[in-house]
Amino acid sequence: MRKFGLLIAAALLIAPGSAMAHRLIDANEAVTVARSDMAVVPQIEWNRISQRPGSNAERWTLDGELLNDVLFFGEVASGDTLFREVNRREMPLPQFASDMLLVDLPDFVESSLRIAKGSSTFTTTSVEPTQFLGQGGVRFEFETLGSDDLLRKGIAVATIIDGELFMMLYEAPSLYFFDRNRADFEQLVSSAHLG
Amino acid sequence: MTKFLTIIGAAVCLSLAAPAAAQERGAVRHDFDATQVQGDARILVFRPRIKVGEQSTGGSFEPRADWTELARDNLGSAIESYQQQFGSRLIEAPEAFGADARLVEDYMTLFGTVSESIINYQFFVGNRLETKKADNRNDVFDWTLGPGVADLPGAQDADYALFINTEDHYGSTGRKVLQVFAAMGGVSVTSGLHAGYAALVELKTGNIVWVNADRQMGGDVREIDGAQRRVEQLFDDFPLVAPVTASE
Repeated sequence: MRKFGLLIAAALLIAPGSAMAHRLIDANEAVTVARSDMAVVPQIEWNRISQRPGSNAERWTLDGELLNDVLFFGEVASGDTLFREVNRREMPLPQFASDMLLVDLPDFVESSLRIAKGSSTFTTTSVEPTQFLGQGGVRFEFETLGSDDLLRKGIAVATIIDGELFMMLYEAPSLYFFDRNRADFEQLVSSAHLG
Repeated sequence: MTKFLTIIGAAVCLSLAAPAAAQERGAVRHDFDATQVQGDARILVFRPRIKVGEQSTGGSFEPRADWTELARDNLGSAIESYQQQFGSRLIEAPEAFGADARLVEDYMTLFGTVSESIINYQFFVGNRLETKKADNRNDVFDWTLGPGVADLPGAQDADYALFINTEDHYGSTGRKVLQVFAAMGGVSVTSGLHAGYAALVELKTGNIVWVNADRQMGGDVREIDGAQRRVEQLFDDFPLVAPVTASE
């Protein structure tokens, strides 16, 4: 039996990373996200991708991140990046600064996405004030051409509380997928609260 | 020590065998009745999207126009001869211009991205998404490009569309050398990518009713025989049955 246990342990140690199971997010239950106090109550089931995109980030999807990508960022502090570094020496990710203003966030997100996702173009199509997590925040929408040459649309809603960034971002192909799940993302945003 | 080596050996076998055994390459939509495409059904064939280039030592893709041209000729001929056996049921999509051409290009790109997701989260069984697992237990295959495909040029005269994408990255000499040295150091470095995606899409709904998708297809598309082999693989289990001719 001990031998069997060792066998399984060894197999798990060297199993491919992508084989790690993704977690089911149940509908109608509050769940905290991005290793932070931020919580949402989804009305439909989602999948949480096992590999975190950043140390203060979490990724949800329905059909894979290429087709519907919901990103949560919580308690991002000064000096933190949104994503894991792709190539720190040649293309370092921008770092969040606690003295950033809400109006600085679209540029910060653009620079981060261009590096982390390899977006070749990024156009902010609207920026407006909003309420998020009970605070004044910013909502902006964008269009981006990914490294796969596919045009995507996106929405980001963010606020800064005590110098830390909280943000939710949705990105999906502009053909069919973006509109199909836009309301599901908006529902997540409206359910977001600090636990 | 022997016991330890046995355990590690078994674990390595498990690790290597699992993805290979778990990887699927084709699927048919659960509610698709193959007899639907026989008889009078008309299938619109869009010009395949073909990319060929070199994989640099660092792994980046460098397109090669000469190889792409060769592949376009070779795959074009192979697909044409394959199409001929189905007679008038496979029809060429009309040549598109302006906004129509952009729409075709956009859907070809979307098809490539949906195929990538199918490979990642459907065909690699160990990586399936939890929300789709119940579907999979019930043999439900539900992937779509969306009903907007009905706006594609030529769609009003057809029932299904055939999409084909191929992308080949041939490892440069530097990449191959790196692969050998990396292997000597116990590190895995891949050399080359030979992706091929083919799908039949219902034009009313955008649903993918049949698909073949694989990132390591066979056949060197720069050569006539290789392209023939690639096309055979792309059309493996294609649901349309060629009509029996009078002489047979």
